[in-house]
Amino acid sequence: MQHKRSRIGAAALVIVTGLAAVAVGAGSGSGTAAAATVAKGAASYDPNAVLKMPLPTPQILDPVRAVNACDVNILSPIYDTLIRTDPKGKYIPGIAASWSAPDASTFVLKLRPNVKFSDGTALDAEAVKASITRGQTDPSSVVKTALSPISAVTVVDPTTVKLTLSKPVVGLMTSLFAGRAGMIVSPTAVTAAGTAFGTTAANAVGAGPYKMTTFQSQGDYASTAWKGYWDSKNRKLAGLKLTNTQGATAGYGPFITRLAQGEFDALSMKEADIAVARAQPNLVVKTGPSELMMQLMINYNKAPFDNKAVRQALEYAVDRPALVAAIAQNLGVPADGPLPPTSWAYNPALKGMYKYNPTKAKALLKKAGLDSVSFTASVPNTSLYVQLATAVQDMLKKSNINMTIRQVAGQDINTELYVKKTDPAGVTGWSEAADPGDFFNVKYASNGSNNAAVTAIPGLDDLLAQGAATTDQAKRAVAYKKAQKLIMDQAIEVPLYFAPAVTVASKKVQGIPKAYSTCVDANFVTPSISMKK
Amino acid sequence: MVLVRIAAAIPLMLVATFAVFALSVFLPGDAAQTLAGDGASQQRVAEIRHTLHLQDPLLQRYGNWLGNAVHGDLGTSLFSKTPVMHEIATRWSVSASLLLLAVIISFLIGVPAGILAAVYRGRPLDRASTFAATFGMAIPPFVLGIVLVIVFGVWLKWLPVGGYTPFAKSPVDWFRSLVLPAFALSGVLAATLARQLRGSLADVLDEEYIRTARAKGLRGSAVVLKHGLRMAAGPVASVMAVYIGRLIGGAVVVEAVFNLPGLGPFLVSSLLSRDLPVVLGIIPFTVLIVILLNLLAEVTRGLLDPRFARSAV
Repeated sequence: MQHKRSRIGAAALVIVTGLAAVAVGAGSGSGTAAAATVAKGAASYDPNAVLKMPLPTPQILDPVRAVNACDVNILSPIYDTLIRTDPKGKYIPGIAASWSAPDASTFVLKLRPNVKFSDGTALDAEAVKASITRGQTDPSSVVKTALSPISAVTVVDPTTVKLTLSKPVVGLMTSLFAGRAGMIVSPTAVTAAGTAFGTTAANAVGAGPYKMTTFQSQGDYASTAWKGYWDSKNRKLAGLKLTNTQGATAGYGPFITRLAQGEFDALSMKEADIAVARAQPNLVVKTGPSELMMQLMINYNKAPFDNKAVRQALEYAVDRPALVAAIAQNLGVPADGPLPPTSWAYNPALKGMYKYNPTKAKALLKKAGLDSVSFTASVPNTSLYVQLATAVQDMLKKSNINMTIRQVAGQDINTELYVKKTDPAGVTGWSEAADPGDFFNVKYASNGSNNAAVTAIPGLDDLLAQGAATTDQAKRAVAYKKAQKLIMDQAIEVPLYFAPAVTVASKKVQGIPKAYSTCVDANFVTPSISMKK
Repeated sequence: MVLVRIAAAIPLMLVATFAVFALSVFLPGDAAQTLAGDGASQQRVAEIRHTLHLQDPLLQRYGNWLGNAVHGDLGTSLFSKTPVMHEIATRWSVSASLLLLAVIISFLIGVPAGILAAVYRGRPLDRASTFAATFGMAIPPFVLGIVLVIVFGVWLKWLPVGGYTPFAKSPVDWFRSLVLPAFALSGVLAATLARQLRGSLADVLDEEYIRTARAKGLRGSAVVLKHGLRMAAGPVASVMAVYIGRLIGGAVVVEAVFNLPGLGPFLVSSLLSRDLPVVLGIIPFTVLIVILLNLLAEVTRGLLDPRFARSAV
């Protein structure tokens, strides 16, 4: 969890799914929540159904102060976002009906008229400005760094907001406002609650499909549909009721049993307990690749990885499909590069680039003038990562590469790898941001906060800048595809596989997509979840 | 005397809280990295560290905390931004319900088992009780908990597998949600109680005044319950106080296994996230409970055995 490092390492990441966000469901169906029986061509659903799930519930219901990456899923039903992401990663309108980028340093958001927060306050340009400013200035803000390129927020008219950027990174604004920074909070509630905003059900006020009725930090969470929500035609549930899993200490078995007994409707879990779920005749189990990349992370500025041939040897020395079979119960997807095949910016040309080949690996070592290589890798001390590291260790040995495993506390892996940099490598997980721009800038740009090497790879910073300079997703994809090629040519990362996401639901739940992200950065839009009558 | 005992608890609290503070220095990492959010710059992390005074000297930080704590302000959680007192207040009743029920179950099992073993010492019933008690002491609460879940929750479906219903909402469901965890937690205490009581009561039953009572024609059960048990209970009470204190440690794990929203899992998650104000709030709270339990045991012993009360005062 918990409280776990939000983006890296913590196995708890795998727990959370986009289910809660899916439940928000601004879907393509056309059922109305009020009369609500039949969505066009779809089965009927119960407009009075409350979806009940066990989840790691947030510590605070504040988009800019809740620290865990997965908290966004649970915040999005309360706080609608300016921009939404569809299941394919395309940015589509949310509270903002449209947006434009007159130049690479200007971003203009055009809001829908007459949108209201659940407390009746108008969601206008002033409210958006107040929300963004709060993200930039709150002493506990987790989006302060992400919002730092915005130098001015101007209210042009009640439905138009203009952002002036200090750098040409307008391409990063769409994902930013499809995530926490785009979750607009009620200025009335913020003024009234002050620093207590988001600590109670009453003062956590947004413009999402549901409003809170019960909230305890890391405890019970209940929300209900409210009259006046701008997109109510796409809301198919009467509310959400979440029970905190507290990290599922005893595994998912007890939760699966409670689900099978009818206490819950749906659950997202780790693949380890999938057999238990599959054994239940009244449950539906779905799997798909997530955005949690299992990786052999290397610091390419430190010996022995300051040598390209050694790095490439490492790429050939890992048998990715074998790892998927051994560690992920054959449910994950071998990684060709740092993005999963489901990403809109995935480069298919990378497929099969580094097929397992110990002979080639040894030849590359020879080329570097070495018979063998030894190094130490930091590994989170949770069973999944220790198992993975041990399997990698065995594989590497066959190519004369000796890896020593040094276990560190799961929540400290980030600090170990990117701040202290004790070891030149790590075997860990990296939960990717929905937009490759955010993720690549942090991990591969020469000044990225999670680039341990802090050294420029010639041409890479330029490609990342190109990807950030436009909001045109097709143009951005071209730049990021080239960036992936360069990253893999230079072998500055050894992606292993994308961990599976597993969801289990009762047969009453309908509209669950096949593939899940372990963490979705915004409202997951279509198809929406609903419950059978 | 009670007041003196409570006063003596103050230095103990100081030592306990300072120890937590000092140990936190040895933990790798701090809350700042997590609080800064994903992809935050190191400047931002440093800024948060500065705001939270995480790099101030240890003694200064402890002094600040203590100054506020004596004024009743335990601070706010770094992550939930709610007062630590509030967080404890919303969770302690779950833990207290669990502990109370576990103690009651322990007595319901341990006392009859101990008495029977003492009365029939050396006979098969005694040996059976000894065997059961050894088993109870050896099996950790979480293992017993998982076994109970499988049998009563999954196979028989008599009781919920996990989760908690507040007493105010439904006393019946409250009881049902706590039976299995309380039973799992009570194993060690019930076994210890049975063994202690057997030993203590066996000694008493060999005393001359018991033989006199029997000679007077009193019935066997009256002798055991009226004369024997009263004398034997004193030493047992002292031992029990220590063991009930230990239950708190077991409760942390049992609450996690049964998904109970008590102080235990909250303490663990706060420790993992380095939410020091919360940890520092819960520790003195539990220290206080242990001290009060010990006090209660001494008072009980005094009431049962006037000789002990006099000597203690």
